[in-house]
Amino acid sequence: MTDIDPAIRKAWQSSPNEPVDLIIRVSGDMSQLGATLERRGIVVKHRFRLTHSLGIRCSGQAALQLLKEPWITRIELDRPVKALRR
Amino acid sequence: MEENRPKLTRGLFRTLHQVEDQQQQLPIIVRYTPTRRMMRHREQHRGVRESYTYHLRPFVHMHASAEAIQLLEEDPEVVTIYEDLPVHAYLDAAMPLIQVPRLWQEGLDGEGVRIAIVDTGLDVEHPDFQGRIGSTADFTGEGIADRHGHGTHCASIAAGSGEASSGRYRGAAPGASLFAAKVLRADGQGMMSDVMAGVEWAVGQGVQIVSLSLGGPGPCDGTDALCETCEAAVEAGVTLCVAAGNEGPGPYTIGSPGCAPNVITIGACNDQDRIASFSSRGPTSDGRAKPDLVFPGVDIIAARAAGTSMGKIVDEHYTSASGTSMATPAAAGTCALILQAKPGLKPQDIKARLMGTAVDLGTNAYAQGSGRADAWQAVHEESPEPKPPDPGPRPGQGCLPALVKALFWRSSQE
Repeated sequence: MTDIDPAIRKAWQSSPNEPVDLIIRVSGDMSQLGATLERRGIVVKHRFRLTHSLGIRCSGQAALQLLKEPWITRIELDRPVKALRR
Repeated sequence: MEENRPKLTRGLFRTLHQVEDQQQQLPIIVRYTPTRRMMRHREQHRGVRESYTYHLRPFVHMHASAEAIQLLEEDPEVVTIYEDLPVHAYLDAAMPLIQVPRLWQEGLDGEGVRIAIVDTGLDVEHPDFQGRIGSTADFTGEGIADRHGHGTHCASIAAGSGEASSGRYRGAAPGASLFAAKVLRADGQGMMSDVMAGVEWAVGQGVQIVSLSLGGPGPCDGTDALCETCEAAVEAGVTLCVAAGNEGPGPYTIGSPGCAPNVITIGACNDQDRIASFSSRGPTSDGRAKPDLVFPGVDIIAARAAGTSMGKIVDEHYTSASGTSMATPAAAGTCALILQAKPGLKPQDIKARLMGTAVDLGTNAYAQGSGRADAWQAVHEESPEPKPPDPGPRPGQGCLPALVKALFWRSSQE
């Protein structure tokens, strides 16, 4: 089972239908796992071959389910970045 | 005010017309005849405060009221009175500071090296990039056009030819090929996952250098997905130059991906070799020393994307901006020059060369890293000694806690 910050878990539990953007690291065939996620209604935005990860969008409820998947080794929030002009 | 004032420059004449308070002290530079007797003027003119006497020419910098300027004009030994104007760190000032023109004179311009700018897109029509754009990719859904201006500005600092300025605002590696991944939207914002996709795309294009003038808030420990992607790109043989961030001067302000261990993390200095106060400071949240070194990043004039208003606009083709964003592509262009001179170097070799030859600015290593880059030395140093910055105690951990720890350890041994 993958770990996640308890505050994030709580947020997903309290708003299970809110969309969340995640980066998940997987073990196994990425295209197969991507297809598995898409069958569950999860949007796979990116497939990252350098880090064997996927960029996805799903509901908070789906994210909670993903925490239980043995083929997911790490889940983190996809966070904002910005141009660094002062 | 008289119209015929031949000793005043046109700019000063205009300024004097606009001044409402006749007692207001204006900064001016006065040119005297070579036979000028210095002391007499100090005593003679009221309302004049001299601040510097130049030695190469008979110039004196001073502050003077409008009334005093009129008296100065009547002085037969005064030849011309100039208004003292603010100056900017142009690219034509920033590049000499890091010794890049010396490499140009030796024939290095980055030709044959591929640089990727992962940013807000690129104005592919800008004259400074003509004939050198390899390929582009958009990860935002907006199209590659740069509607913000940041990516185009950064690209020209790395590799602009200066075509639209007769070479004045030429980037560090004006012969390099440019690749552009658009990962930030027109508002300059984006998501980590799009940046990861942009970096992967650049690696797939066979670029040797990636410039990332973007990031999230600090602190960070270098283990998030974006940092890991950057580390993987370095392992694949690509040199990554990453902005430290603009959250300085407090410690622990370097965000992701600037905190990734093996990227070259770039802080900003001005053209007087002072660290910019905004430049983010280390250490990382897991205690590593960053940034790695600094490049000029204050008031940098470089290419302006058509139709954008980012920064202080200079003219149709150029604009001025500050940030570690502007320092980072200067580093990327410098890396291109190093790679052109020594094609076999690996990312860690390039980083060691830059850090090992940097000019120590005599300030905290958590602000300057190893110091300000010297591109010429980085190319020519035969076997640069690795010079990891000596960061000293971490912020908030001066010598007293270390002493207490040492005493505690000693007593526990007894």
